[in-house]
Amino acid sequence: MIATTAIAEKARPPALRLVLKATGLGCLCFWLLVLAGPLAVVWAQAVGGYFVPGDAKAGLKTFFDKGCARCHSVLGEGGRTAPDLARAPAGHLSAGGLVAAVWNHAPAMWERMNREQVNPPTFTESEMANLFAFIYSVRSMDEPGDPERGRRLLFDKGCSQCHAVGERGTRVGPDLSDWASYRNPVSWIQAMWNHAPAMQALMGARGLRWPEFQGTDVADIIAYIRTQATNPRRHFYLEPADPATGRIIFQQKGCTNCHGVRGSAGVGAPQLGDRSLPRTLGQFAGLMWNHSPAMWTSMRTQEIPRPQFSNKEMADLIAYLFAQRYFDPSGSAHQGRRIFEVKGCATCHLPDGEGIGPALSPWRAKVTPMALATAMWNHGPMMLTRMREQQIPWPRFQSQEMVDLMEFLNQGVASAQLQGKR
Amino acid sequence: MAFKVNRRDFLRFTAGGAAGLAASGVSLQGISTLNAAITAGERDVPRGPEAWSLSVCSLCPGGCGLRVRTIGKRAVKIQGNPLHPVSHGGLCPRGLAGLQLLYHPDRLVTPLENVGSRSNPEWREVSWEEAIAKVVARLQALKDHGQAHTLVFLSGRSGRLRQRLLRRFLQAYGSPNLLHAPTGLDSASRAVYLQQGMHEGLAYDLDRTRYLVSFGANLLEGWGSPVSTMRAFGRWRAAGGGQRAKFVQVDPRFSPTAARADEWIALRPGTEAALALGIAYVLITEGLHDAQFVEDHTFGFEDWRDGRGRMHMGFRSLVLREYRLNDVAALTQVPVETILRVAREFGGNRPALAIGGQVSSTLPGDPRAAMAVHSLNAMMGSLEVAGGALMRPELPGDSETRSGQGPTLPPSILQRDNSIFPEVDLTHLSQVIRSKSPYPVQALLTYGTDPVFSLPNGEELGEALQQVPFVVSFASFMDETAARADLILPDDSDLEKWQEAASPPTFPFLLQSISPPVIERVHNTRDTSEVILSVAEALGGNVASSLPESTVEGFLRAEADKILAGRSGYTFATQLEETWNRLLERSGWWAPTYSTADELWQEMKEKGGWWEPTYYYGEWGRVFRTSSHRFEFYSQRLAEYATRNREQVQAMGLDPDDDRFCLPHQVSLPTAPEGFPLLLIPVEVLPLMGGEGAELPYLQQIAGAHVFEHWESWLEMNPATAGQYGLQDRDQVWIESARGRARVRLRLYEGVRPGVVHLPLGYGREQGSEWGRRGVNPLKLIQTKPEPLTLLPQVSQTYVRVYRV
Amino acid sequence: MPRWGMVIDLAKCTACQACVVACQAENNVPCVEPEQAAKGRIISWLSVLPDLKGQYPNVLMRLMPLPCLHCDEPPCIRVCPVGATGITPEGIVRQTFPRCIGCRYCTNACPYTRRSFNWRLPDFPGELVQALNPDVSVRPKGVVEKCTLCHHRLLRAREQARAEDRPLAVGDYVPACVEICPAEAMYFGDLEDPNSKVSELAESARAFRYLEELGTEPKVVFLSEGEWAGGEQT
Repeated sequence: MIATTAIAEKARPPALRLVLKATGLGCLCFWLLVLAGPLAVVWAQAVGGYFVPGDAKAGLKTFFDKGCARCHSVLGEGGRTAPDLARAPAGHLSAGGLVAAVWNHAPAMWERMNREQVNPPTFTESEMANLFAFIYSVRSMDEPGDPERGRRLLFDKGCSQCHAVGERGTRVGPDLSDWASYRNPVSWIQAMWNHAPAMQALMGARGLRWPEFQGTDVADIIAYIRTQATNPRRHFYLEPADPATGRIIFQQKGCTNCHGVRGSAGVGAPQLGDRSLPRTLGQFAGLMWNHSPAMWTSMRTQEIPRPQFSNKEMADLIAYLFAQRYFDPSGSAHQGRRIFEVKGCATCHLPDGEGIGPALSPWRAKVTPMALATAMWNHGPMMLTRMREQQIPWPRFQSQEMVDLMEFLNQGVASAQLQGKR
Repeated sequence: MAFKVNRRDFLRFTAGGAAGLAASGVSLQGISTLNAAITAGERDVPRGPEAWSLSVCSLCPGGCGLRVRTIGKRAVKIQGNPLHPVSHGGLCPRGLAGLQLLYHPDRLVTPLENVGSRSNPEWREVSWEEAIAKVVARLQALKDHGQAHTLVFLSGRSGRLRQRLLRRFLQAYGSPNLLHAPTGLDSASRAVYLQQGMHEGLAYDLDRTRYLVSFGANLLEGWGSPVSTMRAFGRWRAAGGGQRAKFVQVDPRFSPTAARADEWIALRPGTEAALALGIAYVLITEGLHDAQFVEDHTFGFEDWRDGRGRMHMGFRSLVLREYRLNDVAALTQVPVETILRVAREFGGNRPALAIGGQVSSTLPGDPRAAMAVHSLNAMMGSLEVAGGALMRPELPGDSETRSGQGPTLPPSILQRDNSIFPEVDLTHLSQVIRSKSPYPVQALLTYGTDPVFSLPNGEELGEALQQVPFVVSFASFMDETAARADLILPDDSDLEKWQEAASPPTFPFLLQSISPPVIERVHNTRDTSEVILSVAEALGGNVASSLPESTVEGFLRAEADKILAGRSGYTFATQLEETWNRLLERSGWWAPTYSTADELWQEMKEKGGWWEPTYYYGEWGRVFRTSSHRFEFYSQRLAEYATRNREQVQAMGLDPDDDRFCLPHQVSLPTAPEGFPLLLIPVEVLPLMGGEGAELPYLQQIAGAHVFEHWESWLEMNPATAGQYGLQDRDQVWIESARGRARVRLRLYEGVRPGVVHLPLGYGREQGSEWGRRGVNPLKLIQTKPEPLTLLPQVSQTYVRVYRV
Repeated sequence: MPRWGMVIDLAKCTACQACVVACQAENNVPCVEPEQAAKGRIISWLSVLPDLKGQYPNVLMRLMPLPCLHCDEPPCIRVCPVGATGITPEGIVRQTFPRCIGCRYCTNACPYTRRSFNWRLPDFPGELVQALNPDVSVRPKGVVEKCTLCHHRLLRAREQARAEDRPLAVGDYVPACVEICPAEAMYFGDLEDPNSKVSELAESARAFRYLEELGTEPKVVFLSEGEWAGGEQT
């Protein structure tokens, strides 16, 4: 897989590279589209799956234009009556996960729209792709934390035993309010990462436990420290990260010595880009911090030098790992077929097209999450009505089930084995 | 239906609309022959390509974005720049009248020299070279004689970057005297200085507030940045589902602002502080205030003990002891039930915001009342939260100019020893000139302001100017100050020059608008900044080297480049892009559309400017510059002042040992002198905001819409009061104060409090356009009293009598 | 065929009169000099009219921006002896100035006083003539003039749409007053289109048609001020 990316890297003209950087982190998926678009087939073979393009910023436009924002919000932008798509459901969602989430949630949504006399909008496939890219991007962003919780955390995690914040606390470590200008959690983790050995030594000497950060901990602490800033003259942001550079850093800094990414084997360290990782970049960075003592111990034994990162390097690295996470690992057609039968799809979608639903064999080799989501969304209300008439419950899918199902459809619904059981 | 050329329709509307003429190059003449009577002007059809360019309005401090349609060399229509964050494509009537200003028949069209005397001027046209040479000669002579510091530059409204240019020029030349015209927000700003320790940047997040009580701030008639305030008003009212914000106007007069409020509370003039403290009383006794915020971020709420062990009264004790509801109701003449209800609503709807008053956008209100009002914000935790009172940060490059470089300068001419505030306001200038203390004024330049007309004691200044050897005005119209000058160097109109504007007053976000000239100069005028650059170059030496840029564009460009170094913010963008940027910003990412200074400059010109759409809430260290690093109900700055200047405080008639001196409180009210039973309160009308614009017919026609008046001053009086004095609607009356009398038309208006009369500001010029020389200037009747603490002029305390002509 | 209409939300209106000046500037409506104005000869296609009730301190005032209401049953056109005024298929009450004989029957017939008579030749002294909008001609002495809903903007928008080979889109055609409103209190669009914003608002519970009891059927609809719904007490 990495080899494929390398080809893409070379194929990308320098001018394009500038454009891509300018389009920003949010367009990470857009970036990947341009990067891999011409090589989609190669890519598909390499990862054994499919490829999902999309432009996140255009997705934001779709989000507003199609009226999603009337009910849904993302990070506080938009309506208030439906879930915030940046937060719900909790946890990471890959492309397949997004399809599953839309599928599972759709009937309730249509019903409500029906009640409120709103016509469900229809989407083209590219609009859906953009929308997915947008939602995926904003879901990876950290929300501003809760300063009050941050204040308690600083105490609970023992930070305040060494660090002062403004005028509070003792002063063994640096005054944390000096860092109040750093707006991005990634910058914080980078600074902590680089200072960690010194800190670890001091903490060892004082018999303190290594603090671990979960969920929004880091964001909350930062939010609190920001309120304690004495006189912040500037606010330091990170500029959009570049996953391609991240990939290079990943290799150069020696991460690949131990870690694998998505299929390439790692040696004695967790595989990164795993879907079980947390939702946002900041939380991901927090996780890195939590594991760092164990990581260094392991590195020492293997005599690997401990890498240092600049702000930007850290951001690029994490962006790279996040980009990987968008893609689901290839599904199992075999499992997919089982699901097709168990969930009752086969009841209506007969191979000869004579069932209640259309035959799905034309989908062979055409299934992408976008295509599926689009078709499902646009035809869903009709399907729901028919299913109601037949008193068939709306099936629900796990993310992985959806991926398997897609793989199955992609390989073609083999007619012989699937006889409808009406 | 297919599109038809629709010749019939077209003809039918010939007189009403002849669309696309400019585009198609057809002359209006062909159609005009249908009309028997046709004006000469109509044949004068503009020729040339049609274009739309951006600019910035500078007819008030609001700084709205303009989009101007030009055909050939003519500007033919002003509209709003939809990308501009202040105005979003909207404009107020003043901005729309900009073309009348540009093409006004009474504009000063060329430099003039007074070859007569000051009292009896005779004007001679001079060339720019000659005029500039005269300025340079005078300034050079002053500098050579070590008198550079005696140069005074009076600056009214101008963009922030132009202010930097002036400051740098004066700094290098050797004068500390860049003086500014007063603004109505000065009272609120002084209060914030006493309570938060900050001079500048007071802003309000009107968009997101849920409950707003304005204590006499004329929100819809010239307060802050008018268009952005109106926009917020529209948004409150657009919000459905119980989300509509409530807007309560506290005002003796049922002003058009009060008429548009959700509730109007009529109170006795001058008792705003008491009402605010009455509301505080309810909040405290019913526990509605934000106790956590008060504990974490404020000082002096509870009684406290100082370093020497002395106990001091806190805000709570003062309010509970002295502002009981019955007392407040009796003083303010607001019913107890109203105070209770409004206080409960204020306490129950967060974020709730209280805004202190002003008389007009150039005349401040009562600073003591402003302290009491701002205390309500602190009680509700409405400081530094969305929908609350904010402090706008500085733009990159601001502080650098303030500290400046070059020789250390003597103190400013308005600086007072032992003063609480660094400088007193401009109303004290005439006294300074007359007394030649701290030093005489040898030269006075005035730009963007007409103090002789607009200061409450302007006549005094007019007389004092006789004693200043060299007076230069950069006015565009002959005005009261220019008429007393030796030289008039007329400034370009907005659309003829580079325009720039900073964040307008009360706007929370950092912003810098930039726009190139829209059209070529109509007359032989010059951009004042360009003149200053020429003067600097001719003076040579460190003055020239402090301003190395030879053009205004060059200067603006160099200053705009400093924005890049701040590494934040965005150029103006569509709502969608702004949403996107906000999403990124919230999690710490910044994706600018520019990466080099050239790109930034180009984009600023194309979109209208740059801004930082983020406000950083809760930076307590930045916004509380008091000795306690907190909001101070009990101002320690005042306490320190009282300790060091006991005699001065006693001279104000105040007790330096009384804790009330440092706390918000209601001051005693003046009483009507014998024979002058009516209180005169001047009022501002939006079309003549800031007392300017009377020369523009568009504005004259609409200025008195609420009483059907136009082109003239009117005196507003309650019908009951009129009955008492045997007066009738539309009578010609004399209004007489101890200072003088004026003749004006009486209009009876139920919105006026009995015993009070109102005159609109902006009328009664003696100089300039005939259109502006109508009506009465109320300031000529006003007896100004400086407020003892801040020395700000108080103009709502003059008593008059009114009788039929 | 569209039916052009306007909705003015009095809850959002700040009575700033930007619409009044925008209209004057857009349509070259002359400023009548003070002496003439004092005789009530002001020409105004759109003005903000006050309506005051009560006694101090129990006063209420409605400040109402009032353009021509473009009635479907306009009383003004029935009285014109020469057919100088009429209603277009799209519902705009038009005035053909060259045909007007200045009898002023229509100004008397209009219950909203939205018609003005040119008592004099308009004067644009000095350079002021340069500020005139070239899309709209100046009216001569002796004719009645009124709001055209910025019809010249409709013609321009149509021309533009045709040049781009597309139908007229929502927002292509907006009168000057609506476009400038800083509080976004004015809406404009096609009342025939059930999905347009104006159609939606015209159905609102707050909607009213000024003096509709006269049977004029105005196409400018007002939304009343409404009230604060009350906040939660905490």
